[in-house]
Amino acid sequence: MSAIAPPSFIRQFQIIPLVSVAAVGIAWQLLALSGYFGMALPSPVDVIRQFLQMIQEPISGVSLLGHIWASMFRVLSAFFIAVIIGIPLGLFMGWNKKVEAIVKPIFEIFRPIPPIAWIPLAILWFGIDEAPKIYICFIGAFVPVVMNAYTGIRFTDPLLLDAARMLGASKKQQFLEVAVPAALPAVFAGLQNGISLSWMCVLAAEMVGATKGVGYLILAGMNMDNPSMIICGMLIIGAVGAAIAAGLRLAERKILPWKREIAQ
Amino acid sequence: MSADVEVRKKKVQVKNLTKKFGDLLVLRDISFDVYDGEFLCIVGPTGCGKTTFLNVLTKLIPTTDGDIYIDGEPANPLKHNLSFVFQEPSSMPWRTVEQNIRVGMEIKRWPKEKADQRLEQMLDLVGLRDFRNYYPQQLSSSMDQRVVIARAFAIDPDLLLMDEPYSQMDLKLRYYLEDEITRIWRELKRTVIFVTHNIEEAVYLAERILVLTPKPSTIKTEVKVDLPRPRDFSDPEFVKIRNHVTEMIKWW
Amino acid sequence: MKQKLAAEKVFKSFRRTDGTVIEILNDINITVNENELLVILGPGQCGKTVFLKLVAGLDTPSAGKILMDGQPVTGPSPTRGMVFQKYALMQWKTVIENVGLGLKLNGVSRSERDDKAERLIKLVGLSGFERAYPDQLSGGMKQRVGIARAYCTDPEVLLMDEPFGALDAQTRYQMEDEVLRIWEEAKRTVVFVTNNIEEAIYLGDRIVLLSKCPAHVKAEYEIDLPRPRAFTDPLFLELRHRIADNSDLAL
Repeated sequence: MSAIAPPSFIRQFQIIPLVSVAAVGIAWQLLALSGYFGMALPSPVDVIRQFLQMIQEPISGVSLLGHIWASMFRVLSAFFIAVIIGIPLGLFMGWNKKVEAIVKPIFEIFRPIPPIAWIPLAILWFGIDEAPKIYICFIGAFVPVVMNAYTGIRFTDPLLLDAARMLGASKKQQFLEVAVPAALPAVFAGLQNGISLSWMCVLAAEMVGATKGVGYLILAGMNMDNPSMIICGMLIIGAVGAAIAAGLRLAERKILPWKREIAQ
Repeated sequence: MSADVEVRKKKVQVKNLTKKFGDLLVLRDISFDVYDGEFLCIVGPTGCGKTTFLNVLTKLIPTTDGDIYIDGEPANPLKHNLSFVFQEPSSMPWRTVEQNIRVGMEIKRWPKEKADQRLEQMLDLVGLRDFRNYYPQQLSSSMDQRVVIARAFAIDPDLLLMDEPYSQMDLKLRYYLEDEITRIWRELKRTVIFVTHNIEEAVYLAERILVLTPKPSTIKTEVKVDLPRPRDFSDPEFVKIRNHVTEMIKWW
Repeated sequence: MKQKLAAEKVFKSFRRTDGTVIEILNDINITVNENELLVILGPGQCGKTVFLKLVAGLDTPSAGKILMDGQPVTGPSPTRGMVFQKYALMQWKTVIENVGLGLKLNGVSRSERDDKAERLIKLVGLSGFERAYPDQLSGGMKQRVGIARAYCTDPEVLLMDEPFGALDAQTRYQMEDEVLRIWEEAKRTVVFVTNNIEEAIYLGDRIVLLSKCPAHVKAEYEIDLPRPRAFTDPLFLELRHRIADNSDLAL
């Protein structure tokens, strides 16, 4: 498609985003220099300097990478459990009316409760170590994973099931050969939602009581009166979240090769 | 009927129309005229760029070269009334049948009395008077399509373009709708360009048929259809013309 | 001639969500002879597809019975193959996997079914496209895959539900010739549903004309013209007139 647009057209749309971001950066720098917000608003230069320092020196005894890994570990463990339980549960719920009748009402009761609301109870149950944090992240991931798998199967094209039945498929074969593969794009959407929600939950969990993690970094920044560290923490969180999402999209493209972008 | 064609003024003039998508040449130097009040059909082999041709004609996409003139001036959707009927019904689901037909007239700010009168006329012409307060979802797809046609004709378009509007319907229904469109066309005397894959339909409806070549498309030939209406698909003259057009398309 | 299929006093109605009952099929009696190409012709929305699903075993009649070889049809079976208007191909499977699906479901080994599938892919003129995915194919090609898939389980009966309805006129003509060619090469009993009179006369040994909803059999026509038939042959056109005059208009 790029051969069709004249070069100036493309250049426009590659340059404009860069200019836009640079403009924001410059505006920020000027605002910080003006001192209007005083110490509360560090300049971009300050933030970069802080970031470099964080790479070299440990914060509260743990390296930057160590903090990032701590959070990732919590999210990935929780996500793993959510996927192992959630995908089969969602798929069966969508396929079997009896299972749906039993599980769905319970689900609907718990679904509206935000994962963050579970924090106090989780602490009561599991203490303040890793377990409650993983639990919260699990709740965050569980709901979208299950619901997406459920809707994915529920809306299986009946035409495809008819075709399979004509070819002699048993109920089980209809499920495995048609319904599940057809639901995979929805399942992946659920995974994307689940992991991003899980990532958000880990921050909340860490801010309540942790000794390491990216959420902890933000808290540490606040306690140390170091707004640069806070902003660094925020940017790192955003970057890691984006990287995880990109990784998942790559996995999706590998596993679902037939789902291509519709080219003009 | 055909003697009038020479005397009629030219409504639409297409001159050297060329369209490229990057290196891909889709339309090549297409030139033809359409006379005022004429029913022109355009047929061509699959994938010959008919849709691109229509998009360019209605200025939805720009030409690479050449231009289209209506009444001597470059075609301008803001100035000229161009109506378009697509293959799938494109009625507005949030409006009733009556409100759908009114849409064009509302946009062009017709005086209320004139619009009301035209509305009643259109409802009668498409036979949907009893359904004026229904919503499109409540109608069958053929009725839905007729709402679109009524809406398209209502504004006295300078040019009405129809892109295979009946291709999804069964044959008996097609005959009925083709008779209906002929009736509407004759009563309102509008200029119509009707694109179709179905050669029989083209011969049934058209005063003139333009046959396009495969990509890069240009006009292969023009076939005049001089038969009296209503036409009969089993009439030997009809069959002759139909076979002729079929040969023209097959013969790349 | 041996009777392969029979529909005896078949009625079918559906209950809508608001409780009202809508009658679709009204006392349908049709027989199909072995290796005959029977066309069921009717206006849009008249229940032709509903009827075909009953013959397929995907649904059951409200009253009456459907028999194959004298035995009642109780459910879907690979002895009846079906080709759908919207193709119903599995997007995530390649052409060869789609075609061989029936065999896979019946436990046939990979090499055996790939073998058979390749032969059928060749029969329908798609050699070279074995590893393509459905969304890389045109409508006509997708339907060829549909036909190959239906043939793969060696069905005795082939049911075709307006298979060319979604295709443009020219592709449709090509596919009609394809279907005849494939049928001549691999003779089966075929029940072909369409709303297109021209297509019906072009293809059928016999045509059963249905009325509009609730549908009953309006007429039956024996088509005695030798194949290949010409659309503009005077006998063809005369037959078209006769059938068109007898057809219901479904607005």
